[in-house]
Amino acid sequence: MAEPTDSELVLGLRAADGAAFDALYARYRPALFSFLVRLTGRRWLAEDLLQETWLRLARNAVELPPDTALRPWLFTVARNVFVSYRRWAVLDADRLRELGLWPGQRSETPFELAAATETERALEAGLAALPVTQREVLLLCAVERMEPSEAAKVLGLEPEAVRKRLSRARGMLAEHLARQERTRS
Amino acid sequence: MSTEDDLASRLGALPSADVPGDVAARIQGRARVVLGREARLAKRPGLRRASRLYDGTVEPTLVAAACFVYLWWAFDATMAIFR
Repeated sequence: MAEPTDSELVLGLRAADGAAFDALYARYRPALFSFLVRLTGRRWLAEDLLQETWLRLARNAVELPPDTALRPWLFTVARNVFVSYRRWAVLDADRLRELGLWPGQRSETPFELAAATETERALEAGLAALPVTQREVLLLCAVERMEPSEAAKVLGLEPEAVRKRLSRARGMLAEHLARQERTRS
Repeated sequence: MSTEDDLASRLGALPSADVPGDVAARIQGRARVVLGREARLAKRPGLRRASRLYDGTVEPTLVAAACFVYLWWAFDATMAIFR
């Protein structure tokens, strides 16, 4: 049997159909979780934010407009819960490090620890070292392969601004990788 | 292939992760409970509005007010020791 499309699942959600919710949950859970782990750098926090994302979908399911694009909707909510978390976590070590107020070394992310190859590990480390604004655009456009217009909806930006930010983020990541390469050789 | 294309394809090939089975089941279970409640409330719009008002405004205000009263009492009691 063919998999239901996202539009069919939206109609199911509007009718509070549990099976539609389960199908969506299976379809998008790994992608959302990976996005949140790479955004936060912490597994436990990503689990909490993932839960909040799905609870928000459940709370809003019956009121979703029939033409809702579910993938950007879910990533927008996931990003928003992360932004809310950061707003409250003013003393978060990563944030203080970004502001240059934390002298400690960045700890390795779960993806860095689980990386199968050296290249993968270097990429994960490079991603984790980027500022959040650059990291999120790379995660959406390069890792999740969203179009800039789709990513623009998630980030609340114009597509042109996303393209510029993406280009800057790629440059920063390439620079970081080159620096790591030089250190190794 | 340009460096930029190469970087994009390497990023696109990064593996994804998933939550452990018990965590996935717990999140799904909680969300299904909420979905069931929303389905019941959808049949009664008045009750749904009241529920949203309580969850979004009344409850947070009551919690904040209780915290404020407690802190005020704690401050006052501490000051009384030194009076």
